Amino acid sequence: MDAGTVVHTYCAVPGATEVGTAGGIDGSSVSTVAVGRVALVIGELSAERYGADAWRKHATDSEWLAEVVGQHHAVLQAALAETDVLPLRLPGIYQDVAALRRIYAAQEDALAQALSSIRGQVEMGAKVYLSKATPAAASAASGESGRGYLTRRISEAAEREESRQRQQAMVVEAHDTLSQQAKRAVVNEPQDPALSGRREPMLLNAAYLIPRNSQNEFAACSETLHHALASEGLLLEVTGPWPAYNFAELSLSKAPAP
Amino acid sequence: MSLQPGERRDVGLADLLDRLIDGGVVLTGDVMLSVADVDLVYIGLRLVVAPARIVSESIRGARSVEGEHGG
Repeated sequence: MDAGTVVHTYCAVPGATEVGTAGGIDGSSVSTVAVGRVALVIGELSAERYGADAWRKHATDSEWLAEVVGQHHAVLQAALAETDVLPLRLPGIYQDVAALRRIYAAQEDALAQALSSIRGQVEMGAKVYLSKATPAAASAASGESGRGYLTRRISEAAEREESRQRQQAMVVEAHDTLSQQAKRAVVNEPQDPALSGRREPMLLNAAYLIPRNSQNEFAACSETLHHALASEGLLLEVTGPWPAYNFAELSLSKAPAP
Repeated sequence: MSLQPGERRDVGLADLLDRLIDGGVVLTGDVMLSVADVDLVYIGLRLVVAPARIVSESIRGARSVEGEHGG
């Protein structure tokens, strides 16, 4: 390895797995390094362009980050098509393979355990948006009595409240139904409209860890829910399969087994 | 309904950032970047969507100027 390169880590996969030859960041090649039972998917990148100084320099450069993040994810997505993928947090750069081995070998057990906790599983995402706002309060129609207007306003407000409660219950029910299909589920903060790219408020932002071979059932279940929610003015959007970004955990606090 | 994350690129990136900012295993004994550097990168990742935020806030601002009855 020459001094002009750094090692970038993408993800961990089960040992002795060959990942596809799809290109990595900056068109670099992707390879694996075995660390005990686990294989690390890595790439050698230009130190000048992707070393520590480059990350510091571009830390708030959204264009640079978006590009690196996209290319990093593409490697994980390609690996996911073939095997179990444990995402490693960005930015993971090491001086060389020897340094990488040193750090990972020391934590091989925790890593293997984290990988086995997502074995045979993929992540699906579900978001629910309020697609149809409850009807807006009407203004007084011409010729309507003050009393008539007030009565109408009150009954409309009651309807809105009922509709809001129905929507809330349906979102909870949808999450419960999807969770039943999943091994694990997490509910994240709803994204704000700037992030979601939708003007409608997001009511649910959840991720589900499901068996790889039950994706069809999950899709069918989502489809049914999609229609049920649509009838209440709610939009369900399902994405995936993703690498298990929301379920990649390393339990280092646990004492090693005696 | 879409089951392909790549189908809508804009939402795909937002979803990806949502996952990458907190997702993934992190090992101790790391690396070439300090914790402070890494924090800065996560601020940066959030900034990836900041231009959209500024635009949408200015749209909202304009709409609220137009009239209070719109919402």
